[in-house]
Amino acid sequence: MSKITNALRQPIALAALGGLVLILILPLFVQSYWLHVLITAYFYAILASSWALLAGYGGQFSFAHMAFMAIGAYVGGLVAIHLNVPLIASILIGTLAAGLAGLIIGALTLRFKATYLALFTIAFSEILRITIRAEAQITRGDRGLKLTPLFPDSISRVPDYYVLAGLLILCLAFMYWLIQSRVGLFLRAIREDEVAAAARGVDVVRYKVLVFVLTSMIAGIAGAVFANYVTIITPNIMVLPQMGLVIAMAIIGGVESLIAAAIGAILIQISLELLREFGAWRMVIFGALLIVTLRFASSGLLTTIFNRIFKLGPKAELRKGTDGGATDDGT
Amino acid sequence: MSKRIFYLFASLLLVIVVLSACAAEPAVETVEVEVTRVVQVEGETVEVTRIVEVEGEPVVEEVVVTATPEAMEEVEEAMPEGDTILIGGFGPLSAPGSYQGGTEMRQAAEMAVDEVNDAGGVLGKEVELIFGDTEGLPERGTAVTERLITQNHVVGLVGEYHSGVALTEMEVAHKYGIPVVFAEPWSDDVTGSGYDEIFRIAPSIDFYSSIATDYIAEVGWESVVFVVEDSDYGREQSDTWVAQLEELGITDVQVIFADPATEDFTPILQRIAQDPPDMLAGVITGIGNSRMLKQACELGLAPTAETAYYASIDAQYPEYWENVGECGKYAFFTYVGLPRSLWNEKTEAFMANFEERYGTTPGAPALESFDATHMMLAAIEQAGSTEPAAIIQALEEMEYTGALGDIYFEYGNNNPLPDDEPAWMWHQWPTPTVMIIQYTEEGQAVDEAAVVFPVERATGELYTQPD
Amino acid sequence: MDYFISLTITGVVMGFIFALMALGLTLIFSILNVINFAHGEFYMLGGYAIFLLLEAFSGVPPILMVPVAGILVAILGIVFEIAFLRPMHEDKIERPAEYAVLITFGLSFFLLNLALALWGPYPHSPPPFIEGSVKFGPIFISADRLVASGMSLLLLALLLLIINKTWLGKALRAVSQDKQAAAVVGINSEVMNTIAFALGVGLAAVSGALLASTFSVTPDVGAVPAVRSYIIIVLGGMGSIPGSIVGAIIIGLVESYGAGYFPDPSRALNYKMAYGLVIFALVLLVRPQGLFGRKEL
Repeated sequence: MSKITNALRQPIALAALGGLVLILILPLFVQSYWLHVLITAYFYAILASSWALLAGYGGQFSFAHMAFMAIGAYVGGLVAIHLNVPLIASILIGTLAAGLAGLIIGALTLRFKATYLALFTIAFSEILRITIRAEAQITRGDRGLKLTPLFPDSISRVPDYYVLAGLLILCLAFMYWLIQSRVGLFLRAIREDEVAAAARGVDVVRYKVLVFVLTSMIAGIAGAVFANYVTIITPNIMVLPQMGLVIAMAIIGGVESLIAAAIGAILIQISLELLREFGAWRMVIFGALLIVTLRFASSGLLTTIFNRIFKLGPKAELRKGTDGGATDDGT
Repeated sequence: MSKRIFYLFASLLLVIVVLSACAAEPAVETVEVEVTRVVQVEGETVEVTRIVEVEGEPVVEEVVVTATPEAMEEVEEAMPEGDTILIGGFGPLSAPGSYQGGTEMRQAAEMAVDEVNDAGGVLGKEVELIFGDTEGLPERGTAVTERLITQNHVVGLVGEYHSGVALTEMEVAHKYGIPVVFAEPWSDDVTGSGYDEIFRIAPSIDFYSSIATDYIAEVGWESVVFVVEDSDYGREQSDTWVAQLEELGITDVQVIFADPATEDFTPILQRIAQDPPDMLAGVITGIGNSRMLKQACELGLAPTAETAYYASIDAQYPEYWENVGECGKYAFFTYVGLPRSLWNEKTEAFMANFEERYGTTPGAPALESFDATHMMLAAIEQAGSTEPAAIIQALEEMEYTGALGDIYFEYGNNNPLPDDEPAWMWHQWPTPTVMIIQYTEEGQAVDEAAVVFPVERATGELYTQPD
Repeated sequence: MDYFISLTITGVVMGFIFALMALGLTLIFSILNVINFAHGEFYMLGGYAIFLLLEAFSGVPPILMVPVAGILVAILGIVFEIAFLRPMHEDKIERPAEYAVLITFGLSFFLLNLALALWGPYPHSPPPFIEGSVKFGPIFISADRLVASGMSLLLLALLLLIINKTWLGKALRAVSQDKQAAAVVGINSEVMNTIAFALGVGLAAVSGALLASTFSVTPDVGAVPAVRSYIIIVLGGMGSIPGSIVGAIIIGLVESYGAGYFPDPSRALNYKMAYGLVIFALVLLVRPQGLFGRKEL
């Protein structure tokens, strides 16, 4: 019990708890249209945080994340339509299919360094997209595949909201548990120095593939659930600029912290919606923010701001150590 | 340590306050309300909009009230007390949508609204148009429509270019009961839905396609190749044509799909040139239309004496000549709109005003959007209220002379759809003018070029063969 | 047989044009060890540059504006390189390999949307170099395209000359082989990096300028050529100049033969990009060093 209360004393845990409460009570205050924006934001948050796990934590900067998401959505949808599988089962099947694809890609790209991984996963994603579009007899291509809604009898969005919010919380909890476990330890070791880790007996292959499979399954379930919320999917969900958006969200939020990536995604999605009048300029600002963040705040904009305010992080630690508390920025 | 916690909670509190302020909505109240519109009925609660005065300014707000439906029946259909009547427009203003069509639709709708306001508005109130960019994506169509109805509180919707998007938009409009006059989407399923709220003035794809296939049969071509963009429009269009041509006895038909973003058609054109058909069609919207024509022309494939070239509707825009040059001569395309010989006063005025105001020649989507907007506003005026049911009834009964001609909806609640008519005839203008136009000189404007089909409307030879 | 020849000609003509852009990419990789994921956007900027230049100076023969467009974009490249890529080599960046991927990807995102915001989505065509088509063996080829191809061939030859016969070329080759050894001999690798990047993106821009009148320019016109360039340099061998030229011709032929011979004509064109992508994936799996796999020039 004391372990929990100790853990709760950490600012980040308190923030997480506060965020949780916020998420759960929001539908009382918020209209249907904004619920839709938040639901979409949670969808991106799941993708951004799971990509952060794969890339920031696992060190594998893959561009196939949206492809796995699309596999989850399309396989789930097709199975429901053609084989009359009930909703939950179809979502699970979609998730497993995404996991299988993750297994294959993860295994194939084991030895690939950053550049080759990026190129290969781009190729995979594009081949998949072109195929989905071209084989319209099966997938309905650009016309869109129509799916059953999550709650066919409800007019209101609130149940869908709780499903996506719940999924986000569940995925984050799962990923955090993973990080705290031995898997996380081994992943960090592999990321820092693969050869040394292997020398120490870490089964590099197993863990690299494992993180690929798990994150692709998370992307897949997000895809399947969100697709059933929107009730229509087209190959456009997986165009490269969409992958770029998710990457940008993760980086600006903080690619080494899952919650920062998730919060980054939510804030960015809300901002994009609020700034609608600015049209194409929104994305320009966003793109500039991305580049600047990469260059000057590589652990993420949110993470950097949070650390500055609360005097956390390695820089603050250093400062405290050298001049006993007084900081050089006057605060 | 405690300082940190304090800051943390302070910021959380701030966030909650800000969010609530932005998006707060009063909880359910039991009050007498002056209803302007019923948004949603769910058991014992009704969501309605009402006009209130805030510091002397009329404001539209949404309220959820507990009232039994019976009580609501007795609520007067109030005249709007606010100064503005809001209508919504939707269409593609950015990629991957066909932004060219969408933009001119928005421009035409704005022009229509300005004209109505200059003449005194509707029901004595000023009209405001709020146009949403659907980007050509069905998901965005849903979001935009939802926002227009629930946030902006529009009383009617007009426009849309893409069928795929229209199909999702109409579900939202149907859910909230808001009337829509669709301007450009052709999919049979739009009016085929049979929804009360949905009207369309554009031709259905069935009708639109038959003009081309009848033309092909009339000229006597026997072998046809369609290079079609792989999109929702392309797929539905090619399916329709293949079926219609088969009924006409033309079976040597080949369909080749192309990525909408294809830049280089040359290899496939070379493949087609192995066995040149009587007619080659480039069913690609946007820049692809010009690219394919130019490349086919450069290869010496079409338009030639041996192979005719059927361009897409984008051939109607002036950039066509910029992009294809002299290759554009002899190409023909399907056009929706009035031939010059049948222009009425409104067509003349519209064409002139649009050109003056925006500096470009409007295409068919602009004409349709213009008329759709005018019709919606005229219906509100005729209905004497902004109640959806009243607007719908007014639209069903209306006979409106617009820039496209005399528009009416043949089948509705007042004249039920008979069994032998196709489902898409519901709330559909049955006689839009669809014709084949052929360019015979380089740089010709659409209204100078010859109408070649249907024969009754023709102003030129059925088909002028290149030499 | 005529059919085969005509498809071959089409493929090779396009291949030379692809080669120019791919060469720029491989040059950047060879010297800076970075795959420029924004390569397609520099191609796009080249297209817009020539369009805007010809609008401003309408009397000038279009072909003369091609190098101008290239130079203007190259200057932009210099600015970006100094601001965002130089720190990589000064050990200011934690994880340089990943950083390189992400920052060029971010630049691509930024430039694409900037073009969209500045110039809108409408396609634009500058005036052609020459009008009409030319008979070339069994087929007609657009004269414009032939000019673009010819210019590319010329520039390729020029570049090979520079790389192999001039001091600059020697310096570039030295840096690509061994940075530190080059420094010992007095070659400033930082300057070489900037030059290589500028040259690389300049070539992409020239490619874009050459094809602007054939295919027209839109903000996303660079997306397809970019992916094609990645395919080509991986096939040819990242960092190898002859590799990028040979790879480009092969890809040109693959796209041509693919569309021309794929058994199902209804899908033949639709999968045009996929043929190259599949080869790409296979090469990465089976022989990642490509045909001429060397890291030095």
